[in-house]
Amino acid sequence: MAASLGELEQVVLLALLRLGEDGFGVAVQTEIAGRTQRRVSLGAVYTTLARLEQKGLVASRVGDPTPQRGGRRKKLYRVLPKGKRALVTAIETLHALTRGLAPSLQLP
Amino acid sequence: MSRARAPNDFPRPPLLARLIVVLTMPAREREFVLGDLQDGYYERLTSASAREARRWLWRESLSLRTARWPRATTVVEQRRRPRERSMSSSWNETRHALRSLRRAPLYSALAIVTAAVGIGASTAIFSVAKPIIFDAAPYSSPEKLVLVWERDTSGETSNIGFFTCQDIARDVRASSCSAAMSYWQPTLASEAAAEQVNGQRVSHTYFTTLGVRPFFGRDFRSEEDTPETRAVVILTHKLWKRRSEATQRS
Repeated sequence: MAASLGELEQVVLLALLRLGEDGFGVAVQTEIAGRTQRRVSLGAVYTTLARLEQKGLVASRVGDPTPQRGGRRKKLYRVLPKGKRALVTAIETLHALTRGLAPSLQLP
Repeated sequence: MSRARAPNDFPRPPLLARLIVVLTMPAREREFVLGDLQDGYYERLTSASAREARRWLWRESLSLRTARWPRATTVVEQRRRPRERSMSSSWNETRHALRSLRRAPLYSALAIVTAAVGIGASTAIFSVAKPIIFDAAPYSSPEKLVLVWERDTSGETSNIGFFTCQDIARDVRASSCSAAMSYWQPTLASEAAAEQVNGQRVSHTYFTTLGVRPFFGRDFRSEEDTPETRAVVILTHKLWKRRSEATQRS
């Protein structure tokens, strides 16, 4: 059975999928803000990434240093197959529960 | 021809914000988070304004205080024996607190030093205040002692005249003994040096009223309560010891 996901975990996983192999803390925050107009603090992003990694849904690796970051390295995250399966399950659950509710929710 | 920019060419976030991050997070995550902050700061400097960049940086730096970081001990904890799992929650919480302190040594040091300074200052103030506020005066019956003074026309406390003191001693039935006292700052002179000390000018019943006796020598006598008799003093033990030691040394 796929791991159950919290709402912020789903958002962070989707942002990571969009970023491909280049997902890291501040990029995830920018991606979420750019696509949803939602402000998620960097602290919340790191907490969620740590939890996803602990659940085995994402994996991290250390990237190369860049001058723009003051010569510091990035901690890059990518979504693992288990994370993708958990996302699919979450989306299917949402679809199953919202099917037929479009008029009452006034969905476009 | 363009030249690659060195790390120092890029504007760095304010030192205090970086310091907060350094102090509030585990060392192994510090490099990545500081890099992310500088990345985001630089992006906003170029795409928005310096003010917006600073605001973002402060907001995010402060948000990191509540972040939960990946735990380095995950694997060890999964292998814990069943007996260990049943340990009391308070012991687990103590261990967790110690691990948290170890993960952020600078922050821990700052917190410990702050607590130590606070405790030290409180102890120092209490040790000064205790004998004055909480402890009873070092006399045989401190609860029976009363201090009497006059007020002048402006309402300020004022000295009582010597004759009024004599009237009180003679006429006030409620008191069994009374004495007059005023503050006095004589100068003790010797061949080596002169020294001003805090003293009191008192009537001969002073020590009897307080219920204490001189440790060495005699008390004041009634015939010494005259303006002509000016040369009788009783030294405190502390002053006597200090002066006698100084004399022995010289």
